Amino acid sequence: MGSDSTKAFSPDGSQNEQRLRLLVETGILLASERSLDVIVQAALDAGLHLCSARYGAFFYNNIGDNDKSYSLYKEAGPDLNIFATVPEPHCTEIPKDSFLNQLIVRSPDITRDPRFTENLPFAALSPNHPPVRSYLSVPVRSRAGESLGCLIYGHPDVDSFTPASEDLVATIASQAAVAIDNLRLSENLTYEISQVDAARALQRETSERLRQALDAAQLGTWTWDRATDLLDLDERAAYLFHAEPHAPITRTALRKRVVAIEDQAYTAENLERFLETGGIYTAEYRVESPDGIQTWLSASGNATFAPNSPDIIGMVGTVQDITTRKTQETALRQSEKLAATGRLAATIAHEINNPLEAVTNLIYLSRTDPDVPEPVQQLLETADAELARVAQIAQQTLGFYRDTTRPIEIKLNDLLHSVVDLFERKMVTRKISCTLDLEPDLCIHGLQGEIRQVFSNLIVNAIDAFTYPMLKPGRIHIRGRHLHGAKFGGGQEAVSILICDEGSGISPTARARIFSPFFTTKLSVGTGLGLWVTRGFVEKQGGTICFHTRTGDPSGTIFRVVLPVHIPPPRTASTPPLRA
Amino acid sequence: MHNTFLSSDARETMSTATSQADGDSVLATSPTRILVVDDEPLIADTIVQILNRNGFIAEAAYGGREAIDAARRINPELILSDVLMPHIDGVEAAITIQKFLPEARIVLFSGQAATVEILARARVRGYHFELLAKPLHPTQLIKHLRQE
Repeated sequence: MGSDSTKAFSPDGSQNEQRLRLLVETGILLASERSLDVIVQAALDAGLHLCSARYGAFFYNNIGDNDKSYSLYKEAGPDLNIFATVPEPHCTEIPKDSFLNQLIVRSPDITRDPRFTENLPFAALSPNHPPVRSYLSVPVRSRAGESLGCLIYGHPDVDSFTPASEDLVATIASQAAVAIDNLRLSENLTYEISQVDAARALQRETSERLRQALDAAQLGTWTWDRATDLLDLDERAAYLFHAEPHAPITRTALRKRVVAIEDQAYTAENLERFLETGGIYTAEYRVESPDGIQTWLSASGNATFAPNSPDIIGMVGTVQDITTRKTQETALRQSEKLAATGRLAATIAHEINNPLEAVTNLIYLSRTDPDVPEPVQQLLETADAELARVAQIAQQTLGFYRDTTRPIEIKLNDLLHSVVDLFERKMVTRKISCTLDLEPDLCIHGLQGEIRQVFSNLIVNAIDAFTYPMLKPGRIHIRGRHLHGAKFGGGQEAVSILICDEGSGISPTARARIFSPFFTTKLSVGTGLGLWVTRGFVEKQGGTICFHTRTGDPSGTIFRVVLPVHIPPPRTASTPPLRA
Repeated sequence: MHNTFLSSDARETMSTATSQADGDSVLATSPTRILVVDDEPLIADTIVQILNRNGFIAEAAYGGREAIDAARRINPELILSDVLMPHIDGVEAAITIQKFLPEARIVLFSGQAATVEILARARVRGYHFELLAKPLHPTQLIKHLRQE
């Protein structure tokens, strides 16, 4: 089309109309096209027709990190193969005006144009082809003014491009620029949308993981606003605090409602201190459910701050149930206390046994001396009795009371009868009757002295449980049963001994402490060691001891001792016995 | 101070024990000769006095070495010995004495928990000794020693 006319823009109306139609059609195509290849090819082809050029090419502006280069991207024209030999122009080899200054270059004869002395595209074509004379280069610029590339047209004839064809190509170039711009925008948009999607997915995954971690750790979360004092609790936190999830409640109100009385002051002060000093908030305290069940919670949180301000405006944090840990800690502390007390007691008992023996002997000798006057003898007898009590304490404490040193078969029926016989006088004088209901052959393997001590302590306690003067005769009942199978831990065989009295019962305040050393309700006559030693012996034997008691009418106490028939191997240090 | 008094008293009563025992219907036969061993002289001496007043013929020794020598000399029927003593402990002394006095009854007497381990060692070597815990009231001690 272009080669048959040297004048690109003729007054011929039909040709003009044809060109305008092409322009419009190209414009529509470019506006709707979403492929860079098609856009560039369409623009290039339209330009070629509009300016009647023989050769056309589009160079794409590659902007690398360190370098600018221009790549031949598309070519057009009847002699496409001529471009096979065109080297990729470097920026120095390209019409600087087009690319760098982004100006249109139109030359009637590029070979004679004084403006261009350096190699140009098409200038060094294959010798088999006529050189390019007419030259038109139109930059393709984005709306932001960035150079996207360059449309270059050539013709072997001189002065083949008119200002009108320059305008037409410029129009095409701007249409192409808009299309490429839009394409880039839409690609950017797609990319950004994908980025946002990825970020959202990551956020979802992160929050899901956080939720799973919170679930696994059984952590509830909460946020607190300082200004309104309002708390927001998630489901688990609400469950732990005995509140409704996400229902507005102030921290103060929640504290008053659920925190145990003894921890109220602590939690309030702890919060105040945190608000003054900052850092990480941590608190461990007890809460009570509406039906009075107490649990230990551990809450921790971080401060939230007003923007660009050191003022704490709230907190976000977690909460978890630490009842198990607290119970174990208490048990551990208790057993450490017991161990330490036990060592101390054993040491003291050690040291006093020999002097005690000597003093006992001396008093005995004095008391039995016929020359000692009667009143002095009586004093010495009292001293002897008092000393016997000291000896009893020493023996209980040291746990040394044993007639054998290794476990033997113990017939509990005989042992219990003999212990009851031992205290018969005491019971008779106090008008207490004792009945025994023992299954035959209650036998265990154990240390006889210790087992005897266990039951004599419990029977003495039963006798002492009655308050005097007694309104009616007291009763003590001892029951012994075999336990088979799963009734005892590990399914091994065991025996259960109940020692029941109709005494005054154990007061609620004393109940938690009766197994602690040096705790006694017997005032002047108690050592506070009996039940402590008793439990020590029972547990050493692998058994358990527990009690039920009532102080109301009818009152009484039942101690239950369960002893395995066979003594277990000694516990290792790594598995300390835990008591609930 | 007590030591001197009681030691002299112990030797004194040793000679008079027979006459006291005469009136004791429980010991119609000849009184049992007992060697009391304790590194605390006060304990050894008081026990000797108590036993002598109750129809036994007792003598004290204050260590394992001394106990072995005394056993050779007085040929006791019963040895009541403390366990934890310096140099030769009660179990070692008892084992040695048992070798030349196989008929003698040996009763160990201790206020220390460590005794259990010492006794266990004796058991391993084939010796089973009776063990009494200190402190033990003299009446119970006498009762135990009179039992066979």
